[in-house]
Amino acid sequence: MMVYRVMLVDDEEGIGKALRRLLATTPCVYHGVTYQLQVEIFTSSLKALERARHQAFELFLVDYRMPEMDGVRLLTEIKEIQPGAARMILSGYADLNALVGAINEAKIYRFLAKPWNDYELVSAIAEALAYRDLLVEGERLADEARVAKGTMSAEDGERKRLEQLEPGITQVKWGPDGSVILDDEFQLPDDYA
Amino acid sequence: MDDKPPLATNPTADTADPVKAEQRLLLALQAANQGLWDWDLQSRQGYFSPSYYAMLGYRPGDFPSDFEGWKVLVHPDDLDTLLADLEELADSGRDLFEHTFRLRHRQGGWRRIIGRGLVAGRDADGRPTRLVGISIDVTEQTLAEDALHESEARFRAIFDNIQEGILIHDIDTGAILATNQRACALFATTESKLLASSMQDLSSGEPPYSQAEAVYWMMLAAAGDPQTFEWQAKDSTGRLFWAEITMRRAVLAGQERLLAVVRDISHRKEQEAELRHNLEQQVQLNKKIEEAQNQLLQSEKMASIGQLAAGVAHELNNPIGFVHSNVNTLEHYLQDLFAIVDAAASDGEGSDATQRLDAVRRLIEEKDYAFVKTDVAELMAESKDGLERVRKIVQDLKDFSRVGDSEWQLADVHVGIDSTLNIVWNELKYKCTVNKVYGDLPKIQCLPSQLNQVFMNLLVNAGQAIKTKGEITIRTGADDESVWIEVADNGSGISKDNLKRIFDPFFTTKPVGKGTGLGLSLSFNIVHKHHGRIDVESEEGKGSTFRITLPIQPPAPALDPGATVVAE
Repeated sequence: MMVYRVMLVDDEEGIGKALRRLLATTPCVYHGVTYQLQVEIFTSSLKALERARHQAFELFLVDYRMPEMDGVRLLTEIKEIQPGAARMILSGYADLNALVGAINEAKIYRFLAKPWNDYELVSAIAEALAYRDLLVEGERLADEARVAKGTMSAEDGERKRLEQLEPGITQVKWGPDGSVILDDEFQLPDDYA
Repeated sequence: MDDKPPLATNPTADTADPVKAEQRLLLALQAANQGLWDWDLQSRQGYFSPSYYAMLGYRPGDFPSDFEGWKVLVHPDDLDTLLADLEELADSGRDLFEHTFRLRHRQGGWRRIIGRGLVAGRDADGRPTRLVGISIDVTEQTLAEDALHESEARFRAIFDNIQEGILIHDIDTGAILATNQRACALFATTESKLLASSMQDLSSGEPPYSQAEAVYWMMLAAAGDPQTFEWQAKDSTGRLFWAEITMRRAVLAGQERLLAVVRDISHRKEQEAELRHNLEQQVQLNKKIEEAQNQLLQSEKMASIGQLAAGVAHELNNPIGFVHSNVNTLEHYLQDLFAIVDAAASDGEGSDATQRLDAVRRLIEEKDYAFVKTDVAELMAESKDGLERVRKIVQDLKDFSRVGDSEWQLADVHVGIDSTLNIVWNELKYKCTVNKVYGDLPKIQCLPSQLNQVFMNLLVNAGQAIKTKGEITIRTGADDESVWIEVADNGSGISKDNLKRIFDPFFTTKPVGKGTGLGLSLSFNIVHKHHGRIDVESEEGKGSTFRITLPIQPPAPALDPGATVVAE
């Protein structure tokens, strides 16, 4: 049975812990399918992003207002690394800018409000995972078809599959002196002083 | 007068002696500076005594004693009337003659002379033939009299022409004894009618301007204390007018009198009324401004809170969110625990103690009791912490936004800063470090909720001046009379041009929706209302420091809730 990795990011420790309890005690079910979850909690968006560079997650649920990097920004970065993962925002308050950013840039699946309804939240997670599975399945089938039709090489198909399992594994980063950088350090954007 | 007659050694000696008698007379005349004369009106020859000559500065015989010789000494302007007078004497048959005229003195100048004579002989027709008399030099007396007349005329003119009406009352009866023309004009009447008027006639008659009060004032003045009072007077046409009356006791010509000076102050009264009216309007207007200002203050406060709503809502919804979720989890845990307890307590048939114990152990295992046990403790601790935070935020909000709390009171400025900081904290915490360098502050007399608004504006501004990462330092201190609060940031600073305008209403450099442009303007007003001051230092790129100085005990007018504040 597949275990779904879920990353929770909220600078408020109590939120992460409550969500962990919730997800541990409440079955995550959608259309009769129960999703087994493995939850990781981060209170720092930078550490969360760093983790996302090395570990694939099926779903990211992040707060909007956070000190180092807000939720929209974090999810936008994550989308680059793990485009196939489902993205959701859980926020206590958001103005129009936040919503526009969340939809247009981070392309989130759901925007959930704090305080949340436990049932709705768990359902939303299940739904998002089902939707994500559907997309991944569709993509996989399309790639198979492409390989079968010869429009995609078997290598490319395999690369894509590996990339989904282990983000960045198929790419080599070269240093300025021609060396291979194995463990790239996360670089903050310039305007994050 | 070299040839003075010898002084009589015994003036009371034989009065029957004609020589002695004449000598005595001449001496007396000389002493009185009077001249004796004797005219024969028919021959126009006369006799002048030595004292007559002396009176005019001559020695006896210096001028001829005939009429023609004497006439040249008479002032040309007086000669005709003198002659006419003599003629009239001849016609009237009177015996006594008196005429005043001028005679030339030997040293020049004119002496005023009164000549008094008696007809001493008449002809058959009864016409006077001899006139005997004396002449008296009255020049000095006349001069004094003229001066007196002139002075009297001058005083009369002043008396009649001054702007004040004057009434001189009898001190006992109050009757008007004398008055001036101005008084007549004031009361639109003639002097005789005014003298016949009573105070009743001259007053409006409406208490406190009736006869009784007039008598009262007169009594006070008569007792020796000068009185000045306003009076509603009435003129002869019945028109009422306002007068200011000064009444004092005075001695006039040796008589105790009451002197009343009446000044028409209708114009002044009108002006006063107008002034009062204007003042009333001003007060009304000020009240309206005050109301508007309070409304503005409240609106600005609400707008500021609105801007902080994102932070506050976030801050509230976080704990509410996890506490709410935790309670659901707790319910879940409790169901598990109840299941275990129920299993332990059940007395189902066919099951013995060992089987029950096994079932319970199985359940404990299944429900992960060990985990639940530790997690419940954590869950409760976190939830309590969350609820406490909610309570605190709500309390801070309440403290901060108290509506209608406009009472001056002794308050601790630090408490205000801290509760305000809690509200604003959600805005600041993502990018600022806040340093508090508090000194020892006494409690100050202030409007705490309004001061909080000032602190909030300064803190929000400081936070907004910091783009990504910075420091805000709050310093406080006090001296004997005042306390000061400093909010310093190391943010973007204010340009010189903008610095001049930061206290202007509606001036803002913030994007739409981030500021009303009223924050500092109202802060300025609030501080002004506290009789304090705001000072700003700012350098572009380095940051800004706002310093508020507040008196510990503002001067009394500041305690007047009606006091208005105008931005300078």
